[in-house]
Amino acid sequence: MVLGSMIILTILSPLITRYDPNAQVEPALSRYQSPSWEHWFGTDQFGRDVFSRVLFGGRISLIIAVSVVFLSVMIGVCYGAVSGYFGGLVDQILMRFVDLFLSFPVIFLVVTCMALFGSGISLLIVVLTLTGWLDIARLIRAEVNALKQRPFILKARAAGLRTLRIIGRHLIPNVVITMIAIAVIRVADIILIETALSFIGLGVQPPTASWGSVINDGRLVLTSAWWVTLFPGMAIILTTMSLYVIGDGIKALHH
Amino acid sequence: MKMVFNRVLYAILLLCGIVILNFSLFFLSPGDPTNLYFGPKVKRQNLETLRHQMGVDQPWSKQFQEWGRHALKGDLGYSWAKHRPVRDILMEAIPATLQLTMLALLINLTAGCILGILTGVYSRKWFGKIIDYLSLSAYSVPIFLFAILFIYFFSLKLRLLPASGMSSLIAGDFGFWENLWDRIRHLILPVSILGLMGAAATSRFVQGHMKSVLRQDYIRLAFAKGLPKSRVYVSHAFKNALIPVVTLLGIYFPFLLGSALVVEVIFAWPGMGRVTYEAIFSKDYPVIMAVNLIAGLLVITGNLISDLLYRFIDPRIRVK
Repeated sequence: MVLGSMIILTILSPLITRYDPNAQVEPALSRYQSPSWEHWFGTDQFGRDVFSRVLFGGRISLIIAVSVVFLSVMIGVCYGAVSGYFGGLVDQILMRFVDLFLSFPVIFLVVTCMALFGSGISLLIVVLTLTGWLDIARLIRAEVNALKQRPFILKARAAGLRTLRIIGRHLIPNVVITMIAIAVIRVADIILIETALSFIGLGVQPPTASWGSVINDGRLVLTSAWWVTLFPGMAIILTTMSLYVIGDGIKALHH
Repeated sequence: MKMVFNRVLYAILLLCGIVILNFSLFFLSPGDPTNLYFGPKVKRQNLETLRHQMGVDQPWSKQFQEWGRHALKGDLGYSWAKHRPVRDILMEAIPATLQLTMLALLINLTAGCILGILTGVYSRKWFGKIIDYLSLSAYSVPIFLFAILFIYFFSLKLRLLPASGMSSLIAGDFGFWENLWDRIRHLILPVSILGLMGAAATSRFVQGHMKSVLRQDYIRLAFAKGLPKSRVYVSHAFKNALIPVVTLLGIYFPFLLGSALVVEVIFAWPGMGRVTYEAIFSKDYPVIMAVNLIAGLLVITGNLISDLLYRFIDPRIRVK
Protein backbone atom coordinates (compact mmCIF):
# COMPACT_ATOMS: atom_id res chain seq x y z
CA MET A 1 0.00 0.00 0.00
CA VAL A 2 2.72 2.39 0.97
CA LEU A 3 4.62 1.45 -2.12
CA GLY A 4 1.62 2.18 -4.28
CA SER A 5 1.39 5.58 -2.72
CA MET A 6 5.01 6.28 -3.39
CA ILE A 7 4.25 5.87 -7.03
CA ILE A 8 1.44 8.33 -6.73
CA LEU A 9 3.78 10.68 -4.96
CA THR A 10 5.89 10.93 -8.04
CA ILE A 11 2.84 12.26 -9.77
CA LEU A 12 2.82 14.97 -7.18
CA SER A 13 6.32 16.25 -7.72
CA PRO A 14 5.82 17.31 -11.30
CA LEU A 15 3.18 19.59 -9.90
CA ILE A 16 5.77 21.37 -7.88
CA THR A 17 8.66 21.47 -10.24
CA ARG A 18 7.17 22.07 -13.62
CA TYR A 19 5.82 25.52 -13.35
CA ASP A 20 4.79 27.05 -16.57
CA PRO A 21 5.44 30.74 -16.93
CA ASN A 22 2.53 32.86 -15.87
CA ALA A 23 0.87 32.52 -19.20
CA GLN A 24 -2.49 32.59 -17.62
CA VAL A 25 -3.96 35.63 -19.22
CA GLU A 26 -4.76 34.98 -22.81
CA PRO A 27 -6.95 36.66 -25.39
CA ALA A 28 -10.67 36.29 -24.87
CA LEU A 29 -11.04 34.64 -28.24
CA SER A 30 -9.92 31.36 -26.85
CA ARG A 31 -12.64 31.08 -24.26
CA TYR A 32 -13.78 27.69 -23.14
CA GLN A 33 -11.94 25.54 -25.52
CA SER A 34 -12.24 21.89 -24.85
CA PRO A 35 -9.08 19.93 -24.19
CA SER A 36 -6.97 19.82 -27.27
CA TRP A 37 -3.42 19.31 -28.26
CA GLU A 38 -2.74 22.99 -27.75
CA HIS A 39 -4.33 23.19 -24.37
CA TRP A 40 -4.14 19.89 -22.59
CA PHE A 41 -6.85 20.65 -20.14
CA GLY A 42 -8.75 23.16 -22.21
CA THR A 43 -9.32 26.80 -21.39
CA ASP A 44 -11.52 28.62 -18.95
CA GLN A 45 -13.79 31.63 -19.26
CA PHE A 46 -10.93 34.03 -19.77
CA GLY A 47 -9.13 31.87 -22.22
CA ARG A 48 -6.53 30.84 -19.72
CA ASP A 49 -4.96 27.48 -20.14
CA VAL A 50 -6.45 25.23 -17.52
CA PHE A 51 -3.44 22.97 -17.44
CA SER A 52 -1.07 25.67 -16.32
CA ARG A 53 -3.69 26.95 -13.93
CA VAL A 54 -3.92 23.56 -12.37
CA LEU A 55 -0.17 23.29 -12.11
CA PHE A 56 0.17 26.78 -10.74
CA GLY A 57 -2.71 26.25 -8.41
CA GLY A 58 -1.08 23.08 -7.28
CA ARG A 59 2.06 24.96 -6.48
CA ILE A 60 0.17 27.50 -4.47
CA SER A 61 -2.02 25.04 -2.63
CA LEU A 62 0.94 22.85 -1.81
CA ILE A 63 3.09 25.75 -0.68
CA ILE A 64 0.33 26.98 1.56
CA ALA A 65 -0.35 23.57 2.99
CA VAL A 66 3.27 22.71 3.57
CA SER A 67 4.10 26.05 5.19
CA VAL A 68 1.10 25.85 7.44
CA VAL A 69 1.92 22.35 8.53
CA PHE A 70 5.60 23.11 8.94
CA LEU A 71 4.92 26.10 11.15
CA SER A 72 2.20 24.47 13.17
CA VAL A 73 4.32 21.40 13.71
CA MET A 74 7.20 23.56 14.94
CA ILE A 75 4.98 25.33 17.38
CA GLY A 76 2.93 22.33 18.31
CA VAL A 77 5.85 20.03 18.97
CA CYS A 78 7.70 22.50 21.18
CA TYR A 79 4.60 23.34 23.09
CA GLY A 80 3.47 19.76 23.47
CA ALA A 81 6.90 18.48 24.41
CA VAL A 82 7.38 21.11 27.07
CA SER A 83 3.93 20.58 28.43
CA GLY A 84 4.14 16.82 28.41
CA TYR A 85 7.60 16.65 29.86
CA PHE A 86 7.18 19.02 32.75
CA GLY A 87 3.78 17.82 33.71
CA GLY A 88 2.17 19.20 36.82
CA LEU A 89 1.19 22.83 36.97
CA VAL A 90 2.96 23.88 33.81
CA ASP A 91 1.18 21.17 31.92
CA GLN A 92 -2.17 22.20 33.33
CA ILE A 93 -1.75 25.83 32.45
CA LEU A 94 -0.45 25.19 28.97
CA MET A 95 -3.18 22.75 28.22
CA ARG A 96 -5.91 25.02 29.49
CA PHE A 97 -4.63 27.59 27.08
CA VAL A 98 -4.86 25.10 24.28
CA ASP A 99 -8.36 24.17 25.37
CA LEU A 100 -9.41 27.76 25.17
CA PHE A 101 -8.30 28.04 21.61
CA LEU A 102 -9.64 24.66 20.68
CA SER A 103 -13.02 25.76 21.89
CA PHE A 104 -13.15 28.09 19.02
CA PRO A 105 -15.01 26.71 16.09
CA VAL A 106 -12.14 26.64 13.69
CA ILE A 107 -14.11 27.25 10.56
CA PHE A 108 -15.76 30.32 11.91
CA LEU A 109 -12.53 31.68 13.22
CA VAL A 110 -10.74 31.21 9.95
CA VAL A 111 -13.60 32.66 8.00
CA THR A 112 -13.94 35.62 10.34
CA CYS A 113 -10.25 36.40 10.16
CA MET A 114 -10.23 36.18 6.42
CA ALA A 115 -13.17 38.52 6.25
CA LEU A 116 -11.83 41.05 8.68
CA PHE A 117 -8.27 41.30 7.64
CA GLY A 118 -8.63 41.05 3.92
CA SER A 119 -7.42 37.99 2.18
CA GLY A 120 -3.88 37.41 1.18
CA ILE A 121 -1.91 34.25 0.99
CA SER A 122 0.33 35.11 3.92
CA LEU A 123 -2.71 35.92 5.98
CA LEU A 124 -4.25 32.61 5.07
CA ILE A 125 -1.11 30.83 6.16
CA VAL A 126 -1.00 32.71 9.44
CA VAL A 127 -4.60 32.02 10.29
CA LEU A 128 -4.45 28.35 9.39
CA THR A 129 -1.27 27.94 11.40
CA LEU A 130 -2.71 29.63 14.43
CA THR A 131 -5.70 27.36 14.41
CA GLY A 132 -3.68 24.33 13.47
CA TRP A 133 -0.96 23.91 16.01
CA LEU A 134 -3.30 23.10 18.88
CA ASP A 135 -4.19 19.64 17.79
CA ILE A 136 -0.58 18.77 17.19
CA ALA A 137 0.40 20.10 20.60
CA ARG A 138 -2.14 17.82 22.22
CA LEU A 139 -1.00 14.75 20.38
CA ILE A 140 2.68 15.39 20.99
CA ARG A 141 2.01 15.99 24.64
CA ALA A 142 0.35 12.62 24.91
CA GLU A 143 3.30 10.97 23.20
CA VAL A 144 5.80 12.71 25.40
CA ASN A 145 3.88 11.75 28.46
CA ALA A 146 4.05 8.15 27.43
CA LEU A 147 7.73 8.38 26.60
CA LYS A 148 8.60 10.12 29.81
CA GLN A 149 8.78 6.97 31.83
CA ARG A 150 10.89 5.02 29.43
CA PRO A 151 14.29 3.87 30.66
CA PHE A 152 16.40 5.90 28.34
CA ILE A 153 14.84 9.11 29.53
CA LEU A 154 15.20 8.12 33.12
CA LYS A 155 18.83 7.29 32.47
CA ALA A 156 19.40 10.67 30.93
CA ARG A 157 17.91 12.37 33.89
CA ALA A 158 19.84 10.23 36.32
CA ALA A 159 23.03 11.08 34.50
CA GLY A 160 22.14 14.63 35.36
CA LEU A 161 22.19 16.02 31.88
CA ARG A 162 22.80 19.69 32.17
CA THR A 163 19.98 21.44 30.49
CA LEU A 164 16.53 20.11 30.01
CA ARG A 165 17.05 21.06 26.45
CA ILE A 166 19.49 18.27 26.06
CA ILE A 167 16.77 15.96 27.14
CA GLY A 168 14.73 17.65 24.52
CA ARG A 169 17.33 16.33 22.13
CA HIS A 170 16.72 12.83 23.34
CA LEU A 171 13.01 13.09 23.60
CA ILE A 172 12.12 14.84 20.43
CA PRO A 173 13.90 12.53 17.99
CA ASN A 174 11.72 9.78 19.30
CA VAL A 175 8.60 11.72 18.65
CA VAL A 176 9.72 12.48 15.14
CA ILE A 177 8.10 9.51 13.45
CA THR A 178 4.69 10.22 14.87
CA MET A 179 5.29 13.82 14.03
CA ILE A 180 5.92 13.06 10.38
CA ALA A 181 2.83 10.90 10.16
CA ILE A 182 0.73 13.64 11.69
CA ALA A 183 2.33 16.25 9.46
CA VAL A 184 1.61 14.37 6.26
CA ILE A 185 -2.01 13.89 7.17
CA ARG A 186 -2.32 17.52 8.16
CA VAL A 187 -1.01 18.63 4.79
CA ALA A 188 -3.86 16.78 3.17
CA ASP A 189 -6.34 18.30 5.61
CA ILE A 190 -5.05 21.79 4.99
CA ILE A 191 -5.26 21.31 1.27
CA LEU A 192 -8.91 20.42 1.65
CA ILE A 193 -9.59 23.40 3.87
CA GLU A 194 -7.70 25.84 1.70
CA THR A 195 -9.42 24.71 -1.46
CA ALA A 196 -12.78 24.98 0.22
CA LEU A 197 -11.98 28.52 1.30
CA SER A 198 -10.77 29.47 -2.14
CA PHE A 199 -13.89 27.98 -3.60
CA ILE A 200 -16.08 30.21 -1.50
CA GLY A 201 -13.91 33.18 -2.27
CA LEU A 202 -12.23 33.59 1.09
CA GLY A 203 -8.94 32.00 0.28
CA VAL A 204 -6.60 32.69 -2.53
CA GLN A 205 -7.95 35.60 -4.50
CA PRO A 206 -8.34 35.76 -8.26
CA PRO A 207 -6.57 36.03 -10.64
CA THR A 208 -4.18 33.82 -8.74
CA ALA A 209 -5.04 30.25 -9.35
CA SER A 210 -5.79 27.75 -6.66
CA TRP A 211 -7.47 24.44 -7.18
CA GLY A 212 -10.48 25.67 -5.28
CA SER A 213 -10.96 28.87 -7.23
CA VAL A 214 -10.53 27.13 -10.56
CA ILE A 215 -13.27 24.71 -9.58
CA ASN A 216 -15.42 27.66 -8.64
CA ASP A 217 -14.75 29.20 -12.02
CA GLY A 218 -15.97 26.11 -13.72
CA ARG A 219 -18.95 25.60 -11.53
CA LEU A 220 -21.49 27.48 -13.61
CA VAL A 221 -20.52 25.88 -16.85
CA LEU A 222 -20.26 22.36 -15.54
CA THR A 223 -22.48 20.93 -18.23
CA SER A 224 -20.64 22.49 -21.13
CA ALA A 225 -17.10 23.18 -19.99
CA TRP A 226 -16.64 20.23 -17.68
CA TRP A 227 -12.89 20.29 -18.00
CA VAL A 228 -12.48 23.40 -15.89
CA THR A 229 -13.90 21.64 -12.87
CA LEU A 230 -12.83 18.10 -13.48
CA PHE A 231 -9.08 18.47 -13.68
CA PRO A 232 -8.42 20.51 -10.57
CA GLY A 233 -10.87 18.24 -8.79
CA MET A 234 -8.95 15.18 -9.85
CA ALA A 235 -5.76 16.88 -8.80
CA ILE A 236 -7.10 17.51 -5.33
CA ILE A 237 -8.40 14.00 -4.93
CA LEU A 238 -5.21 12.36 -6.09
CA THR A 239 -3.04 14.56 -3.96
CA THR A 240 -5.01 14.23 -0.76
CA MET A 241 -5.57 10.57 -1.21
CA SER A 242 -1.92 9.79 -1.70
CA LEU A 243 -1.01 11.94 1.26
CA TYR A 244 -3.46 10.11 3.47
CA VAL A 245 -2.17 6.78 2.34
CA ILE A 246 1.40 7.80 3.01
CA GLY A 247 0.47 9.15 6.40
CA ASP A 248 -1.37 6.00 7.33
CA GLY A 249 1.50 3.94 6.06
CA ILE A 250 3.98 5.77 8.24
CA LYS A 251 1.71 5.34 11.22
CA ALA A 252 1.43 1.63 10.55
CA LEU A 253 5.17 1.32 10.26
CA HIS A 254 5.60 2.99 13.58
CA HIS A 255 3.43 0.50 15.36
CA MET B 1 -21.31 16.14 41.23
CA LYS B 2 -18.65 18.57 42.23
CA MET B 3 -16.75 17.53 39.16
CA VAL B 4 -19.68 18.31 36.95
CA PHE B 5 -20.03 21.70 38.53
CA ASN B 6 -16.36 22.39 37.98
CA ARG B 7 -16.62 21.50 34.36
CA VAL B 8 -19.64 23.71 33.83
CA LEU B 9 -17.96 26.63 35.51
CA TYR B 10 -14.91 26.14 33.38
CA ALA B 11 -17.09 26.02 30.32
CA ILE B 12 -18.67 29.35 31.15
CA LEU B 13 -15.25 30.87 31.63
CA LEU B 14 -14.22 29.59 28.25
CA LEU B 15 -17.26 31.14 26.72
CA CYS B 16 -16.38 34.52 28.16
CA GLY B 17 -12.91 34.09 26.84
CA ILE B 18 -14.25 33.41 23.40
CA VAL B 19 -16.45 36.45 23.44
CA ILE B 20 -13.61 38.68 24.48
CA LEU B 21 -11.36 37.24 21.85
CA ASN B 22 -14.01 37.77 19.24
CA PHE B 23 -14.54 41.32 20.17
CA SER B 24 -10.85 42.04 20.13
CA LEU B 25 -10.57 40.62 16.67
CA PHE B 26 -12.99 43.16 15.39
CA PHE B 27 -11.10 45.96 16.91
CA LEU B 28 -7.86 44.81 15.50
CA SER B 29 -9.18 44.73 12.02
CA PRO B 30 -8.40 47.59 9.74
CA GLY B 31 -11.04 49.73 8.15
CA ASP B 32 -14.20 51.19 9.39
CA PRO B 33 -17.65 49.65 9.44
CA THR B 34 -19.09 52.78 7.95
CA ASN B 35 -17.26 52.10 4.72
CA LEU B 36 -20.24 50.09 3.64
CA TYR B 37 -22.66 52.87 3.69
CA PHE B 38 -21.21 55.81 1.94
CA GLY B 39 -19.33 56.55 -1.21
CA PRO B 40 -15.97 58.25 -1.12
CA LYS B 41 -17.36 61.76 -1.23
CA VAL B 42 -19.22 61.67 2.00
CA LYS B 43 -19.29 64.65 4.27
CA ARG B 44 -17.27 64.31 7.43
CA GLN B 45 -20.21 65.14 9.54
CA ASN B 46 -22.44 62.45 8.10
CA LEU B 47 -19.76 59.94 8.72
CA GLU B 48 -19.50 61.02 12.32
CA THR B 49 -23.23 60.84 12.81
CA LEU B 50 -23.41 57.37 11.44
CA ARG B 51 -20.53 56.25 13.54
CA HIS B 52 -22.20 57.61 16.58
CA GLN B 53 -25.42 55.86 15.67
CA MET B 54 -23.66 52.62 15.18
CA GLY B 55 -21.89 53.14 18.41
CA VAL B 56 -18.44 52.57 17.02
CA ASP B 57 -16.99 55.82 18.24
CA GLN B 58 -16.94 54.62 21.80
CA PRO B 59 -13.86 53.09 23.34
CA TRP B 60 -13.43 49.34 23.20
CA SER B 61 -14.44 48.54 26.73
CA LYS B 62 -17.55 50.61 26.53
CA GLN B 63 -18.68 48.93 23.34
CA PHE B 64 -17.99 45.59 24.85
CA GLN B 65 -20.01 46.39 27.93
CA GLU B 66 -22.90 47.58 25.81
CA TRP B 67 -22.86 44.51 23.70
CA GLY B 68 -22.53 42.27 26.70
CA ARG B 69 -25.43 43.84 28.51
CA HIS B 70 -27.63 43.57 25.50
CA ALA B 71 -26.56 40.04 24.83
CA LEU B 72 -27.38 38.91 28.32
CA LYS B 73 -30.85 40.24 27.85
CA GLY B 74 -31.10 38.31 24.64
CA ASP B 75 -30.70 41.22 22.30
CA LEU B 76 -27.92 40.44 19.94
CA GLY B 77 -27.88 43.66 18.05
CA TYR B 78 -29.05 44.90 14.74
CA SER B 79 -27.77 43.64 11.47
CA TRP B 80 -26.08 46.36 9.49
CA ALA B 81 -26.56 44.75 6.15
CA LYS B 82 -30.03 43.37 6.46
CA HIS B 83 -31.59 45.95 8.70
CA ARG B 84 -33.22 43.44 10.94
CA PRO B 85 -32.55 42.46 14.50
CA VAL B 86 -29.89 39.82 14.55
CA ARG B 87 -32.02 37.69 16.77
CA ASP B 88 -34.72 37.33 14.14
CA ILE B 89 -32.24 36.38 11.49
CA LEU B 90 -30.80 33.71 13.70
CA MET B 91 -34.18 32.43 14.77
CA GLU B 92 -35.00 31.76 11.17
CA ALA B 93 -31.68 30.41 10.17
CA ILE B 94 -30.94 28.04 13.00
CA PRO B 95 -33.84 25.63 12.51
CA ALA B 96 -33.05 25.50 8.83
CA THR B 97 -29.51 24.47 9.51
CA LEU B 98 -30.51 22.06 12.23
CA GLN B 99 -32.81 20.22 9.86
CA LEU B 100 -29.87 19.69 7.61
CA THR B 101 -27.22 18.86 10.11
CA MET B 102 -29.18 16.67 12.47
CA LEU B 103 -30.22 14.38 9.71
CA ALA B 104 -26.73 14.41 8.36
CA LEU B 105 -25.33 13.60 11.78
CA LEU B 106 -27.68 10.67 12.04
CA ILE B 107 -26.52 9.24 8.76
CA ASN B 108 -22.97 10.10 9.62
CA LEU B 109 -22.92 8.22 12.90
CA THR B 110 -24.87 5.17 11.85
CA ALA B 111 -23.19 4.65 8.52
CA GLY B 112 -19.83 5.59 9.93
CA CYS B 113 -19.99 3.18 12.82
CA ILE B 114 -21.22 0.33 10.69
CA LEU B 115 -18.62 0.90 8.03
CA GLY B 116 -15.90 1.42 10.57
CA ILE B 117 -16.70 -1.79 12.37
CA LEU B 118 -16.91 -3.71 9.14
CA THR B 119 -13.58 -2.51 7.92
CA GLY B 120 -12.06 -3.11 11.30
CA VAL B 121 -13.29 -6.65 11.57
CA TYR B 122 -12.70 -7.66 8.00
CA SER B 123 -9.58 -5.64 7.50
CA ARG B 124 -7.70 -8.52 5.98
CA LYS B 125 -10.37 -9.76 3.66
CA TRP B 126 -10.83 -8.27 0.28
CA PHE B 127 -14.18 -6.63 0.83
CA GLY B 128 -12.94 -4.98 3.96
CA LYS B 129 -10.12 -3.51 2.00
CA ILE B 130 -12.45 -2.32 -0.71
CA ILE B 131 -14.71 -0.54 1.73
CA ASP B 132 -11.66 0.95 3.35
CA TYR B 133 -10.42 2.21 0.03
CA LEU B 134 -13.80 3.64 -0.85
CA SER B 135 -14.12 5.50 2.38
CA LEU B 136 -10.62 6.83 1.97
CA SER B 137 -11.51 8.17 -1.45
CA ALA B 138 -14.65 9.74 -0.08
CA TYR B 139 -12.58 11.31 2.64
CA SER B 140 -10.14 12.78 0.16
CA VAL B 141 -12.74 14.46 -1.93
CA PRO B 142 -13.39 18.05 -0.97
CA ILE B 143 -16.98 18.61 0.06
CA PHE B 144 -17.71 21.23 -2.52
CA LEU B 145 -16.57 18.99 -5.30
CA PHE B 146 -18.83 16.27 -4.05
CA ALA B 147 -21.68 18.72 -3.89
CA ILE B 148 -21.13 19.97 -7.40
CA LEU B 149 -20.91 16.49 -8.82
CA PHE B 150 -24.02 15.37 -7.02
CA ILE B 151 -25.93 18.37 -8.26
CA TYR B 152 -24.69 17.64 -11.72
CA PHE B 153 -25.80 14.06 -11.72
CA PHE B 154 -28.97 14.10 -9.77
CA SER B 155 -30.35 17.46 -10.70
CA LEU B 156 -29.14 18.19 -14.14
CA LYS B 157 -28.61 14.86 -15.74
CA LEU B 158 -31.16 12.69 -14.08
CA ARG B 159 -33.56 15.44 -13.15
CA LEU B 160 -34.50 13.63 -10.02
CA LEU B 161 -33.87 16.12 -7.29
CA PRO B 162 -33.95 19.88 -6.94
CA ALA B 163 -30.65 21.67 -7.04
CA SER B 164 -31.09 24.29 -4.40
CA GLY B 165 -33.26 25.98 -1.88
CA MET B 166 -35.42 24.67 0.84
CA SER B 167 -38.69 24.45 -0.96
CA SER B 168 -40.02 24.87 -4.43
CA LEU B 169 -41.41 28.12 -5.68
CA ILE B 170 -44.96 26.86 -5.78
CA ALA B 171 -44.76 25.49 -2.28
CA GLY B 172 -47.29 28.01 -1.12
CA ASP B 173 -50.00 26.07 -2.83
CA PHE B 174 -49.14 22.76 -1.32
CA GLY B 175 -51.04 21.04 1.38
CA PHE B 176 -49.23 19.57 4.33
CA TRP B 177 -48.17 16.28 2.82
CA GLU B 178 -47.00 17.73 -0.45
CA ASN B 179 -45.05 20.28 1.48
CA LEU B 180 -43.43 17.56 3.48
CA TRP B 181 -42.49 15.60 0.42
CA ASP B 182 -41.16 18.69 -1.24
CA ARG B 183 -39.05 19.49 1.77
CA ILE B 184 -37.73 15.96 1.83
CA ARG B 185 -36.78 16.16 -1.82
CA HIS B 186 -34.84 19.30 -1.15
CA LEU B 187 -33.16 17.79 1.83
CA ILE B 188 -31.93 14.62 0.19
CA LEU B 189 -28.94 16.00 -1.68
CA PRO B 190 -27.33 18.21 0.92
CA VAL B 191 -28.04 15.78 3.75
CA SER B 192 -26.59 12.84 1.91
CA ILE B 193 -23.48 14.78 1.03
CA LEU B 194 -22.90 15.96 4.56
CA GLY B 195 -23.78 12.57 5.94
CA LEU B 196 -21.58 10.58 3.61
CA MET B 197 -18.56 12.79 4.03
CA GLY B 198 -18.97 12.67 7.76
CA ALA B 199 -19.45 8.94 7.63
CA ALA B 200 -16.17 8.57 5.80
CA ALA B 201 -14.40 10.45 8.56
CA THR B 202 -16.22 8.61 11.32
CA SER B 203 -15.54 5.23 9.79
CA ARG B 204 -11.84 5.95 9.69
CA PHE B 205 -11.94 6.81 13.34
CA VAL B 206 -14.01 3.80 14.34
CA GLN B 207 -11.94 1.50 12.19
CA GLY B 208 -8.75 2.55 13.88
CA HIS B 209 -10.23 2.04 17.26
CA MET B 210 -11.79 -1.23 16.30
CA LYS B 211 -8.46 -2.55 15.15
CA SER B 212 -6.77 -1.63 18.36
CA VAL B 213 -9.56 -3.19 20.38
CA LEU B 214 -9.28 -6.42 18.43
CA ARG B 215 -5.62 -6.56 19.25
CA GLN B 216 -6.29 -6.53 22.93
CA ASP B 217 -5.66 -9.50 25.12
CA TYR B 218 -9.16 -9.87 26.41
CA ILE B 219 -10.42 -10.44 22.90
CA ARG B 220 -7.87 -13.16 22.33
CA LEU B 221 -8.91 -14.63 25.65
CA ALA B 222 -12.51 -14.65 24.56
CA PHE B 223 -11.59 -16.48 21.40
CA ALA B 224 -9.43 -18.87 23.35
CA LYS B 225 -12.26 -19.60 25.70
CA GLY B 226 -14.14 -20.91 22.72
CA LEU B 227 -16.83 -18.33 22.49
CA PRO B 228 -18.51 -18.20 19.12
CA LYS B 229 -17.08 -15.47 16.93
CA SER B 230 -20.26 -13.47 16.73
CA ARG B 231 -20.58 -13.43 20.48
CA VAL B 232 -17.06 -12.17 20.90
CA TYR B 233 -17.56 -9.43 18.41
CA VAL B 234 -20.91 -8.28 19.56
CA SER B 235 -20.65 -8.35 23.30
CA HIS B 236 -17.01 -7.58 23.74
CA ALA B 237 -15.42 -5.93 20.79
CA PHE B 238 -18.20 -3.70 19.53
CA LYS B 239 -19.16 -2.35 22.87
CA ASN B 240 -15.66 -1.36 23.72
CA ALA B 241 -14.89 0.03 20.33
CA LEU B 242 -17.96 2.20 20.32
CA ILE B 243 -17.27 3.94 23.59
CA PRO B 244 -15.18 6.71 22.11
CA VAL B 245 -17.89 7.26 19.54
CA VAL B 246 -19.67 9.05 22.31
CA THR B 247 -16.87 11.58 22.38
CA LEU B 248 -17.41 11.96 18.67
CA LEU B 249 -20.84 13.32 19.45
CA GLY B 250 -19.19 16.07 21.37
CA ILE B 251 -16.73 16.73 18.60
CA TYR B 252 -19.39 16.84 15.95
CA PHE B 253 -21.61 19.16 17.93
CA PRO B 254 -20.03 22.36 16.65
CA PHE B 255 -20.14 20.96 13.18
CA LEU B 256 -23.89 21.00 13.48
CA LEU B 257 -23.68 24.64 12.64
CA GLY B 258 -20.32 24.99 11.07
CA SER B 259 -19.49 22.43 8.48
CA ALA B 260 -22.69 23.01 6.70
CA LEU B 261 -21.30 26.36 5.62
CA VAL B 262 -19.98 25.28 2.28
CA VAL B 263 -22.91 23.03 1.55
CA GLU B 264 -25.41 25.70 2.46
CA VAL B 265 -23.74 28.19 0.19
CA ILE B 266 -23.75 25.80 -2.72
CA PHE B 267 -27.31 24.70 -2.21
CA ALA B 268 -28.60 28.15 -1.34
CA TRP B 269 -29.97 26.70 1.84
CA PRO B 270 -31.18 29.54 4.08
CA GLY B 271 -29.39 28.44 7.20
CA MET B 272 -26.71 29.62 9.58
CA GLY B 273 -23.92 28.89 7.17
CA ARG B 274 -25.40 31.10 4.54
CA VAL B 275 -26.08 33.82 7.07
CA THR B 276 -22.46 33.73 8.12
CA TYR B 277 -21.27 33.80 4.55
CA GLU B 278 -23.36 36.78 3.65
CA ALA B 279 -22.47 38.58 6.84
CA ILE B 280 -18.83 38.13 6.14
CA PHE B 281 -18.97 39.43 2.66
CA SER B 282 -20.93 42.45 3.74
CA LYS B 283 -18.79 42.93 6.81
CA ASP B 284 -21.83 42.77 9.00
CA TYR B 285 -20.19 42.76 12.38
CA PRO B 286 -23.14 42.29 14.70
CA VAL B 287 -24.21 39.20 12.85
CA ILE B 288 -20.71 37.81 12.79
CA MET B 289 -20.31 38.40 16.49
CA ALA B 290 -23.57 36.69 17.28
CA VAL B 291 -22.78 33.75 15.05
CA ASN B 292 -19.39 33.30 16.62
CA LEU B 293 -20.92 33.49 20.04
CA ILE B 294 -23.38 30.75 19.24
CA ALA B 295 -20.76 28.65 17.56
CA GLY B 296 -18.51 29.01 20.58
CA LEU B 297 -21.39 28.07 22.80
CA LEU B 298 -21.96 24.94 20.78
CA VAL B 299 -18.34 23.93 20.84
CA ILE B 300 -18.09 24.30 24.56
CA THR B 301 -21.36 22.54 25.19
CA GLY B 302 -20.34 19.77 22.88
CA ASN B 303 -17.04 19.27 24.63
CA LEU B 304 -18.76 19.35 27.98
CA ILE B 305 -21.34 16.79 26.96
CA SER B 306 -18.86 14.43 25.46
CA ASP B 307 -16.58 14.76 28.45
CA LEU B 308 -19.33 13.99 30.92
CA LEU B 309 -20.83 11.24 28.82
CA TYR B 310 -17.48 9.61 28.43
CA ARG B 311 -16.95 9.53 32.15
CA PHE B 312 -20.33 7.98 32.67
CA ILE B 313 -20.14 5.39 29.99
CA ASP B 314 -16.64 4.12 30.35
CA PRO B 315 -16.90 1.76 33.31
CA ARG B 316 -13.21 1.96 34.03
CA ILE B 317 -13.44 5.61 34.74
CA ARG B 318 -16.62 5.34 36.73
CA VAL B 319 -15.07 3.08 39.30
CA LYS B 320 -12.68 5.81 40.23
